[in-house]
Amino acid sequence: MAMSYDIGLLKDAMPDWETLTIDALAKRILEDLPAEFMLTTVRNICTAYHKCEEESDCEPIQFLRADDGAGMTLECWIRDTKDGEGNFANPHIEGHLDLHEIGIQISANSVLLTDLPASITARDLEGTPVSDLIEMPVLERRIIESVKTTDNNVLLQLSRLAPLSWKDEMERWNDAI
Amino acid sequence: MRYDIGLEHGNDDGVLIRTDQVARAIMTELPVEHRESLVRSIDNAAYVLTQGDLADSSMQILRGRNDEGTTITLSLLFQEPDEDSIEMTMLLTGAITKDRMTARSRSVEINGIPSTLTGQLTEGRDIREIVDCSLLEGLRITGHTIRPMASMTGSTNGNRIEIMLSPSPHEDIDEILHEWMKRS
Repeated sequence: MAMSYDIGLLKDAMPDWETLTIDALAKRILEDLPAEFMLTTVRNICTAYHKCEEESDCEPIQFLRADDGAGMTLECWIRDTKDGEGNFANPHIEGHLDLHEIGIQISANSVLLTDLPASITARDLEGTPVSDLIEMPVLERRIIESVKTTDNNVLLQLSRLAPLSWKDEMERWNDAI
Repeated sequence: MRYDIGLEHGNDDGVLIRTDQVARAIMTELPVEHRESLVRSIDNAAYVLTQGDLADSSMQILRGRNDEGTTITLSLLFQEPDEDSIEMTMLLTGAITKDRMTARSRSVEINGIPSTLTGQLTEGRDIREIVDCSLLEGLRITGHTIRPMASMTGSTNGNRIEIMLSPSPHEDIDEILHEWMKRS
């Protein structure tokens, strides 16, 4: 009979799921996560969240990595946020996707292109859909707001998406918790 | 996708981690896709144990459950140093709960069995002949104690039996990790 596994430290209390936020890329990564890893991931979100709450000025904490063995890695991090007055607010989960074989790193609100030929870096990209450059579901309908170029690296700042509410967006996960 | 779930904290002090028989059996049966997360969790727990004043603490790092109600756990704890050593070590220890039984590497507790069965608990007998649990393979009975279990009404309700098992070696966790690396 198959076992379901829940791997991680048991000592930490549950996060405040009501105030926890998540970005669109992390949401996508977690939605695609096979069900057998859900309990382990929740357990490690608890540990990371607890550490974020416990330590002032806590560095972002990585709690998930994945590698497809063909040049793509995924990461999920949790970090403290600050409100408008600089006070610590609720922890926030963010995703990161690295297509290192082709030199593309994607975060919720930016894309870093590395080692591009000069012909591309010179193009006027501001105001154009990022999907003109990279076709990925997570980048659909996102507009390039600004472009920063250094050497052969191009940082595309995308139209900003507001953080999502964990409680509202992660329905399947809320059922598991 | 190959998933590796857990925090980045490692066993930076390089504390030697040993495994008991049941922990090894649980690790051996762990599906490949969960191995990296377990190794990371062991490292996370070793980090927490060495950072805190937790010398007497045990940290549970794995829980497993199946539809038949069997549960397994792995916990990490500081171990008393060997007589001839001052080296700090930790022990990864396993436990199984199934029906009315809780089993660890050194003992098996069974609740509510009739006293007529206790005659089978002879020294040297393979525990697998008494308890159908593959994770206890190779462990032998060295003795047992029996205590009557009181029910809510005060009458006795079978016996609680603790079966002591033959000591099995505590092996370095690296033995298993090397095996995993060879097969991955």
